This record gives sequence, structure tokens and C-alpha cells, in this order.
Amino acid sequence: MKIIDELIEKEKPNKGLEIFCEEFAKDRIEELSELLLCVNNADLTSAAKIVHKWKGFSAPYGFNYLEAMSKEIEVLAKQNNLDEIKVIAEKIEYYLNEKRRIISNGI
Amino acid sequence: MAFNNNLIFETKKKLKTSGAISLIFIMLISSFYLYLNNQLVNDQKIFAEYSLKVKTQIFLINDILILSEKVESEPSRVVLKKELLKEIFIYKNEVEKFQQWLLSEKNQNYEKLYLILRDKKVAQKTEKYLNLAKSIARSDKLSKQEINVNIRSIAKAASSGLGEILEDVTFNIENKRIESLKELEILSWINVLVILILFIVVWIYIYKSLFSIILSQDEKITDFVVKVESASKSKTNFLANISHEIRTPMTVIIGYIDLLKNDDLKRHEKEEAISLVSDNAHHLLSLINEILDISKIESNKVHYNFKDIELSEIFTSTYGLLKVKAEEKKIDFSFKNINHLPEHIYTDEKRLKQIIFNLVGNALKFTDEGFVKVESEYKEASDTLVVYVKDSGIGITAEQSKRLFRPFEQGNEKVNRVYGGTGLGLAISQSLARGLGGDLKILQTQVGKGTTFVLTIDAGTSETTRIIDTPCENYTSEVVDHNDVDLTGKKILIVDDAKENSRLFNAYLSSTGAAISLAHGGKDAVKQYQDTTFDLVLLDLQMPDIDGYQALVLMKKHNNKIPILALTAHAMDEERIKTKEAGFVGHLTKPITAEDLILGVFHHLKK
Repeated sequence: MKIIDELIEKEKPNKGLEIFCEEFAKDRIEELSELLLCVNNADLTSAAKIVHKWKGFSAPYGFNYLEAMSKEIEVLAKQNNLDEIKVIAEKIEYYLNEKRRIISNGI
Repeated sequence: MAFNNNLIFETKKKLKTSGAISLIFIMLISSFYLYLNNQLVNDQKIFAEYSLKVKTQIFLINDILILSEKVESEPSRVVLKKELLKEIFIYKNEVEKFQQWLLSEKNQNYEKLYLILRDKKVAQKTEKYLNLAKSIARSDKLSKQEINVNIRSIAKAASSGLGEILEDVTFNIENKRIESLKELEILSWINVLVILILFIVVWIYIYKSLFSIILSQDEKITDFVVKVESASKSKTNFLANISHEIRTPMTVIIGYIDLLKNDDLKRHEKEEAISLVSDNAHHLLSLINEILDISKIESNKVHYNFKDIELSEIFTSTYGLLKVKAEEKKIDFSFKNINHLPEHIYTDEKRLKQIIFNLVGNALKFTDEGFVKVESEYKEASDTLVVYVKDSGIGITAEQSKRLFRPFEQGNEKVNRVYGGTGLGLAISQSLARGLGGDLKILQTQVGKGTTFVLTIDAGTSETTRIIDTPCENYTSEVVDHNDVDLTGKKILIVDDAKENSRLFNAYLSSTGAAISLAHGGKDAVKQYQDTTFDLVLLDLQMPDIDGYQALVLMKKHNNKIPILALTAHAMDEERIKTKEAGFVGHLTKPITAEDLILGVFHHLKK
């Protein structure tokens, strides 16, 4: 998780999108619950759709780690690798909570 | 290479015919020669016989002189008389024989001699002299001396009268004999000459052409064997190369997948790894497709599907797929028409796209700066579509250009190492172009300056084919800085169910001065589209209510003049083709940078 912290420090949103970052983090945390539900139900198709969306718009908002993890989950979903997806989902959870905390505190 | 069986058959036939003719001719000449030879030999025999006969007469005349010597030597008159009569009797028999021979032998060839002998009455005169000699010998009244004188007198008379004639005749006979010998000699030489001429004629007519055919065939066989060996070697090299081409990306894929299992990998390292795996997988796929294509071409199993296709769509699709590459390299990339093109042509759409995509893709690959221009013209006289692909790239050497279209030989191994590729693309493209009734060639090239390829295909137009009055849309990718783009006054609709995307694209495009409207679903988008006249629409494909394709159909029913771009996370070529076929004027891939979005919108609004 230390690595994730280091990554978070380096992430920056594109100009003009800073004001949306907190809401972005909040929405993603909600969607993460949906993702975990899909994974637990072995509904990898739905899980892939969620991360596909994340992959498309995360980076400009400064959520580069989320983009990278989304790509990984997409690949793992195709491979039916539920265990690995769960591991990554835990990391994403930590990441998003940390991001939200930092953004909220104006750090 | 085809061995000419007809030629071999014809040559065999010629040989048999000329052989038979030669044989017959030689037999005829030989027979004629033998006949003449026989004639001449017979003549020689006759000569000899004539000569002998006439000489005998001469001897007889001379023998008369001998009689006179007997008169002198024989002391007894009685014995002398007896001897004389005996001799005369013998001579007389000989004369009679000569006369009989003269009468019986009438050889036409020596008629003249015969006539001389007959006319001069040689035999009769000889007989006359002998009768005189006989009467003298029988006479009891003459003395030995008188007999001697009379016999001598007869001998002289016979000698002067007949001898000269007979000498002449003998001389003529000898001359004739010598002449005939000469004739025989000449005939022999003629025979040799004729055989020589015959041999030369046969040689020129048959053997010379046969040998030149054999030499020519031998050269062809040698050439063929060299080509086969070269092709075999090339195939071996190709297989070795293909093996390397396959192993290289597979090594990368396997290696980086193993690497990605490592949890401690940094974010940028993972991103790089995933990107490399993706790129190499795509490269492998295109390699496999090329190998399959060349295999089909080599075994003549390519099936063409000819139908009427919209020409502009081919160019639009290729431009859309490749302009990103051009923009990355900051190369001026354009499609232009030299003259009016037919709206539709009758050809295999998939294969034509493949060829043009390959040519343009190559041009972009081998050009680091400058331009890639695609210019098309329609030649009405020959009903041919001509496409020129010009670049300002690295160019091709004369040596490379010889091997460029060969499937199993690469233009330059060093170039392939630097730029990648199997070297199959041009071979495939040329074969396909020929299958479409045309060809693919290098029009011009210069090392360091660039190359122009020219593609011709049969347009297959009919009298009803519409020639577009105004040129098709020209596509250019000029190098524009996105920060300088001004879209003030333009109304743009952004449709995406994810507000994050909408906000993002709104933030990007707002900086250009454009008026942005957002729709968060397909239905909302269609409603806004119907209510407002936009200049451009960015439309997401995956939406919960109605997807992008359905929304597009509804929008186009209302107004099909407004450019609508697909905005999707799917970047595969198939997806691009699908969106194009659906009617989207362009395809932008998420995630997208501000620069790409602004430039993409700018270019479509410019048209």
C-alpha cells in the first residue's frame, strides 16, 4: 500500500477538472461496491463493463492508478480470474478512499 | 516454366523426315553414281577391246613385214612357200574375225570410230594385202628375191595406207578413254560435293535449329533450376525469418505477462508492459493474417467478391484508420482526387481496402517527416481507377526494388529490422491488385527523397455509373496545434452516459470557444439533436437506454448532414470499420487526450 501512496502523490488532474475530483472519487467508491458484488456473483461481464468505463475517463481526473488497475481487471475478467480481481479490488478500495481523503482535505 | 512438348514432337518429325529424304537422296545419287561408274567402266573395257582389236590389225600389218624376213632367211623355196601360206592363213583368219567384229559391234558411244574403221574399210584392205601376199607366196614363177620385194612392197603399202588410219583410231580411242576417266573423276567429285551440300543443308535445316533449341531449352532448364533453388533458399530464409518474427513478439508477450504477475511492479511499468503486450499481440495477428493471405495467393485460393462499392468510403475508412499515425509523426497526410471519380466501382471492397491500407500504412511507416499523399484519378478510356501513393520517406534502391514484390524475399533486411514487418505486404498487394484487373508498381523512387507507388484496378463501371460532379471530399491532416484551434460559434453535442466523460470532453472543448451541450443517454441525445441544429455530435456507443448505433439512425433520419463521430473505448480496426459502415463520419477512441479530441473535432468541422 505504500506504493499506492507514492503513486497518489504524483497524480494530478487535468486543468479544469479539479473541482470534479472529489465527486469522481465518491462515485467510484459506489461503483466499486457494485464491482465487488459482480465479482462475488462471478458476473465478470458486468464487472468488465464497469472497469471499461473507468479505464476510459480516469486518467484526466488524475486517477491514473485506477486506469491501470481497470485495464488489469479487464484482462483478468477475460481470463475468468476471480481471485486476482478480488485482490486488485481491495487495492482499488484503499486507493479510492485515500484519494477521497486527500482531495477532501485539500492536500 | 513449360517445356514445349510440341516443339520436341515437331523436331522429331523434322528429323525423321529429313533423315528419310537424306537417305533416299543419297541412295539415288549413289545409284546414279554406280550406274555412271558402271557405264564408264564398261566403256573402259570397250576402249581396251577396241584398242586391242585395232592394234591387232596394226600388228598384222607389221607382221606382213616379218613375212619378208622369212623369205630372206628360209633357204628352201618349198618350205618358204609352206610357211608363208600358213602365216597368211592365220592372218587372214584374224582379219576375218576383225571384220566380223566390226560388223557385229555397234557401240553407239564409239560410232564415230566404228564408222572410220568401216568407212576406211580397214578390214577389207588388210584382207586385200594378205591375199596379195598369198598369191605371191603361191606363185611358182617368182624368185625368192622377187617374193621378198613384193612382200615388202605390200607391207609398205599396208603400213602407209592402213597403219596411219589405225594409229589415228587408236589415238582417238585412247583420248576417249582418258576423257571418260576424267569424267569419272569429275563425277566422283560431284558426288562428294552433293553429299557435302546435302549434309550442310540437313545441318542448317535440322541440326542447327535443333541444337539452338536444345541450347535454349538447356538455358531455360538451368535458369529454372536456379530460380527453383533460389526460391527454395528464399523460402527457407523466409521460414527462418517468419519464425523469428513470430518468436520475437511471443517472447515479449510471454515475458511481460510473467512480469505483470509481480505485484510490486510500479504503475508506469505495468502500463508499459500492458501496452507492449497489446502491441505485440496485434503485430502477431497481422503477421498471421499476412501469412494466410500469401498462402492463399500462392495456391490460387483467393476468392474475390466483386460488387458495387462506394469509392469514397474506401478512402474515408483508410484515412480515418491511419491519420492518427500521421498526426503522431506530424506528417502531412492527405487524400485528393486528380479528376472526377465514379461514385461506385465494381470490385472487391475488402481486398481494395487491404491494398490501399497496406500502401498508405507503408508510406507512413517509412516516412519520418514531410508528407504522405494519396491521389486518385479515373481513366475513362480504359475504365481504370489509378491511385498514386506518394511519400517523402526513405526511398528504395534499385536493388531493393527488384525484390520488393517477391513474397519470400525482403527488400532490405536491415530496413526490416529497423522498421519491422515481414516483407509480405507488397507481394500480397500486387497479387490482389492483379486479381482486381490491375497492377501495382513503383512509379518513381529516390533514396532519401521518397517513393511513389501506382495502383491501377479495373473500375468496372457501366454506362449508368454516376461520375461525381464535384470532387469527393479531400482529407488532409495538416499539422495544427490544438491550442490554436478556434471553434467559436460552433455548437457541439457530447453524448455519453458517464458524466465523467461528458465533463471531461466539455472541459477540453470549451477552451476552443465552442458551445457545448451534454446528453447523458441516447434518447436525450436524439431529442436535443431534433431540437437544436448542431455543427457536430460526439456520440458514445455503449449507453444503457439506446446505444450509439440506434441513436445515430434516429438522428440521421432527422438530419443526415451533420457530422457525427463515434466516441468509444473500442479501438480495434473492426470497430472502426463497423462505425464507418454504420454511418459515423469518424471514430475517436477513449481515453482521448485534449489534443486528439480538439484536432479530431476541428478536422471534421473543417470539411
